Amino acid sequence: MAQAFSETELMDRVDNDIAFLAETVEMLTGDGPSLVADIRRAIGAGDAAGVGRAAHALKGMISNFCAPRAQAAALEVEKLGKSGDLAPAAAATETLATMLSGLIDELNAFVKARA
Amino acid sequence: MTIKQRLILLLSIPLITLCTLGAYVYISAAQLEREVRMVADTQIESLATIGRISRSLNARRINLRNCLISQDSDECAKAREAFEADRGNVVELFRVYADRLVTNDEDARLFSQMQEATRAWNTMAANVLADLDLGKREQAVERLGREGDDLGVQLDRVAGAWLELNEDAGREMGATALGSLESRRRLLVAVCMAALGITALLGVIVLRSISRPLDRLRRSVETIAKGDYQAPVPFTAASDEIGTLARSVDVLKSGAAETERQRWTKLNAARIASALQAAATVEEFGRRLVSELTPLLGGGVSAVYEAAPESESIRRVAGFGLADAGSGAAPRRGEGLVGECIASVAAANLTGLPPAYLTVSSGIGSAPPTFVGAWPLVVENSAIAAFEFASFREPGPREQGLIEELFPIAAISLDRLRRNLRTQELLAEMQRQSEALRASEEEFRTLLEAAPDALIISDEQGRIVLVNAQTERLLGYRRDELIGQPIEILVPERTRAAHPGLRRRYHENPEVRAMGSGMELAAVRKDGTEFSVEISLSPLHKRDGRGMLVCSSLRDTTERMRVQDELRRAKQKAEEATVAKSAFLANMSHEIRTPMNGIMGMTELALDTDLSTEQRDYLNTVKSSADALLSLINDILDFSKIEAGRIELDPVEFLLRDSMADTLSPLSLRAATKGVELAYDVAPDVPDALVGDVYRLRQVIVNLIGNAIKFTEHGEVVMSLRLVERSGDEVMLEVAVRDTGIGIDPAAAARLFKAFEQAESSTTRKYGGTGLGLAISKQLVELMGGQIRLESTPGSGSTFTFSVRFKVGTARPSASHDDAAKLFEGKSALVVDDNRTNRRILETMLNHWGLKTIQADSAKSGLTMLDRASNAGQSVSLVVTDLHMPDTDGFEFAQAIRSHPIHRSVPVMLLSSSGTAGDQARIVELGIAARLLKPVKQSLLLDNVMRVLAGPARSAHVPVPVSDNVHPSAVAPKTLRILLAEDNPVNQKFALRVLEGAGHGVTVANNGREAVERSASESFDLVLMDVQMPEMDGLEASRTIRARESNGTGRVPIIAMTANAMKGDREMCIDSGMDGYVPKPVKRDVLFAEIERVLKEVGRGAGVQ
Repeated sequence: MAQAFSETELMDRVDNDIAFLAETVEMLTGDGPSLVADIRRAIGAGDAAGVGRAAHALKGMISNFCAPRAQAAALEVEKLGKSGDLAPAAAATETLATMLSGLIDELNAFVKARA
Repeated sequence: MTIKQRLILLLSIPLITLCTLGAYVYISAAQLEREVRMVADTQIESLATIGRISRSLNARRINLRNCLISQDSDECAKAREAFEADRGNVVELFRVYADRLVTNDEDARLFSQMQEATRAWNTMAANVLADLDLGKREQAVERLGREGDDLGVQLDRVAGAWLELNEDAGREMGATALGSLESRRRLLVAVCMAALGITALLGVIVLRSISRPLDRLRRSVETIAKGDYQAPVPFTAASDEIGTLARSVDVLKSGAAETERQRWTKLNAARIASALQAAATVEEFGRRLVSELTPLLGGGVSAVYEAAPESESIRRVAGFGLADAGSGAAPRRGEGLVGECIASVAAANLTGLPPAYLTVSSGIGSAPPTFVGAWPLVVENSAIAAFEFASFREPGPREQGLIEELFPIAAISLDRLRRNLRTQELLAEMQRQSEALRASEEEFRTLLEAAPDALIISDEQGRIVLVNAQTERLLGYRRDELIGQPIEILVPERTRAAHPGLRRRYHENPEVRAMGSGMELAAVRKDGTEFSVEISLSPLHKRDGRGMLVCSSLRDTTERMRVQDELRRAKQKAEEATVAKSAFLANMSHEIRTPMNGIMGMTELALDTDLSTEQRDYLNTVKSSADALLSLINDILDFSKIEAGRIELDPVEFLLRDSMADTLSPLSLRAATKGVELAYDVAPDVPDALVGDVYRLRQVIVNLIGNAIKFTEHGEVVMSLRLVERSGDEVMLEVAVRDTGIGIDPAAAARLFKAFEQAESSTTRKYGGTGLGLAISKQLVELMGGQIRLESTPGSGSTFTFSVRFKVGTARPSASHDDAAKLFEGKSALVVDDNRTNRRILETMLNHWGLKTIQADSAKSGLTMLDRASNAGQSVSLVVTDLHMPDTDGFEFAQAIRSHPIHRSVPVMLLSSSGTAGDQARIVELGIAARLLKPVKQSLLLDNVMRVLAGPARSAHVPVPVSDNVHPSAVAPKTLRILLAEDNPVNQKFALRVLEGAGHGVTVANNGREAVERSASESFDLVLMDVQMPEMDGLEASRTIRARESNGTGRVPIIAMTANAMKGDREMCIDSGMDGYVPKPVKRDVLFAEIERVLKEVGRGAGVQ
């Protein structure tokens, strides 16, 4: 499978500052899954707006890391939430969760390799 | 009846008589013939026939007897034969008679008796014979004897009567014929006699009727032949040949009379004409005319008048029978009889004159005339003279004829006389003029010789005709060496070839001018040396056919040229020096500015830190000194750039009114501090969207207004902008900056626009400044295609006016005019300000958008106006009031309105020149709808007025915040105080890295509410607002901030950060009051570009001084 994020873009974005990147990756590692949890909770509660908000926030976070697929997954959930159609939301959320964890792993690996 | 007719009548009588008689005779003769014929033919024959019948009968009787008696049978037979033969004869004769010989009834009766008798005898005879035949001779004889005798006697008796009758008839016829013949003959004679008689009588009468008139006519002709044309010809009215003849005689008489008249006329006309021709003067002409003509006209009083050519006046030149021949009221053309005669070129007369008019007199007696007439003497359809004549009788045809014959000749004669006299006059005149000409030529020659310049007169071929003494001196020739020579000998060889061509061109367009403008002219002397000259040419048009001459005036300009050359070289050197200097300075600008920027930037940074009051004081001083120094440096550099010709205009599209407002607002603080009102107005017809170097325009305006404020202690400074002309897409605007300051002395005014000068050196000390501002402004204005001028009265104030040219842009202004007009319809606003100019400007703006206005100059009168309006049923919808007013200020006024029972809900907008912190509370307390800083930005005013008048329901229309003291940093900002509103920590981190990495100071807010709070408590240069945040999102936060800012606390630029890059998002952000946006994830260059754009947009007015 191709890389979840674009190395060159990301490095460019942080001006090749690995330390900075490490910090941000750390934040993503922490906050990202908790947002996923928020989404799941909101789906359970039938809170479509909440789903949308959380997904949007997660998308925004992911967007900093030049990871188009993960970002798209987040966008998908966001759209579902905003449209009020929660039926497919659960499945989409799991996809998102998978993508997110994959991204986090890869980022961490990347950072560790260059630290 | 004509003679012919009479004669015909006369002759016709005998003729007719003759004819009648002839006819009568003829008829009579015919009748006679008939009668005679009857006698001849008929009667005689009938008598003869009767005779024969008798004889035959007798013969028969005899024969019968014979037969009877005779014993001889032969004899008896013979007798019987003859008897028988006679019987046939008798029958035949009876037949003949019956055929044509019976004349009348009696004759017919007797004839038939005869026939009867004959028949009876025949019967008897037949019986006798029968008897005989039977042999009964005795019986036969007995019968014969018995019946035959009786019958025979009967027969004889009848025959006798018959014969007698016819004889009588014949005799009677003859007598009758004779008788009628006789009577006819008698009648004939009588008629002839009568006819003859009548004819003779008539003949006499007719002949007399012819001969008498002829005789009289003859006598008449004799009279005429004797020369008497007066006696009338008789019988001219007769209708016969006499009449015709008489008329012909009459005609002949007239002709003869006419001939006689003409002879008389011609004779006299010729005689008088020749007398007139001999006249030597007009008066003599007149005298001869009157004296010759008047008697011929039958005597009377007369006069001759001459009509002066080309003038209205008429003068009397002669008179006859007048007391004083040469006087009397001189008539004018058209006036009076003579005037009328002359004016209308026709004879005129008056009749039925009153007695007092004039008297014609002779030695014996006098009487008024019955006729006055005037005749013109005409030459070429105009009257040159007139003859007036008064008499007792009107001139007859002969006299008229004389006048008609004479006057044309007389007129020609007079005309010729006058011409001759005129010619003599002209000759005398010409002689005089000739003298004068000679004298003036002398004068001219003198002038020529005395002239300080060399004057050379040449003809069309370029030959020298005349020169003066100076020419000889200047060119080293003697006069006679030059005259006749071509003028080219004076022209240097190198230009000689072209000279004839130049000459020719000049001759085609001759005028007084300098020769060869722009050319270096030289002349060459006799000795070959050249020298520079100035040549002036003037054409002379000679009269005597020599064509056009040219006068060339030469002046030696050698010395002058030398001086000019020196000056030129010196000027060039000086210019080069200036250019070099300016270039040097221009290049130095960067070098100079950099350390200045450093000083100012650091000072500002230091000011942002925690400082003690003392330290802050010192640093503020450093900052203002640095500001002043920088402005000085900018002036110097600008000026040198202009001198070095290195200023270029940088045209951009801009909105005029907004730019003006932005330009003026920093200055307003300065003005307010001094207590001077600063106002501006832009005429409504000035287009708002323009293309030009607004930067330079602002530079000039700031310079002028700055000066105005500087030199004004109290009163106002007003900038007015108006449209001068618009052609196509170019406009020329005129900007006037008027102040009520100390004014400028006119003498000093002239020096003002020169560099380094101020009105007087004392002002430099008092007011500071480099003195470069106006010079730069002048250069800039001229660069922008305009002019600058000054009007000033010392002590009253000054007005600087300049014009600039711009192109019209395509950007459209912000607020919709139509919306405004719709909203404002029927509404009115009260404008209150103690300064009249301000009121006027506000009114202009509001009226322009369709809002009616009422003015008041104080709070007190404002209340009065409110009352008045509501009493009139037209309540005011809005009050716009100034804050700083004497007596009652804006707040107190608002208070009064809020407390008023009727007006308390009228919205109030406050305008003030500066903002103080404490005002905010009062504004809220008094429910003031909006507070704007002066001078008011038009678009801002409109938006706020619309917002206020639209009411709370229209909150969808987001209020546009008020413009305040935009940081007038002299340096382009490099470090910003940025408020970052972002909830997401990762995003925060990234943004912080970018921003802090660029050296900016960043404060973080985690949501909209925090952002609002933070921005209220601290002031930031920029807000980066994430759109989607919990608690309060970016849009709402932005709206809140803007709403708060509408109270006049400053407008902070807000840039949205949004992950949704969809079309509607942008609009939403703008509607919420944001100024720009960047997409997320944020990229550094995109972000900074947008920051720069937004700051430039909002912060225009970063003042250059």
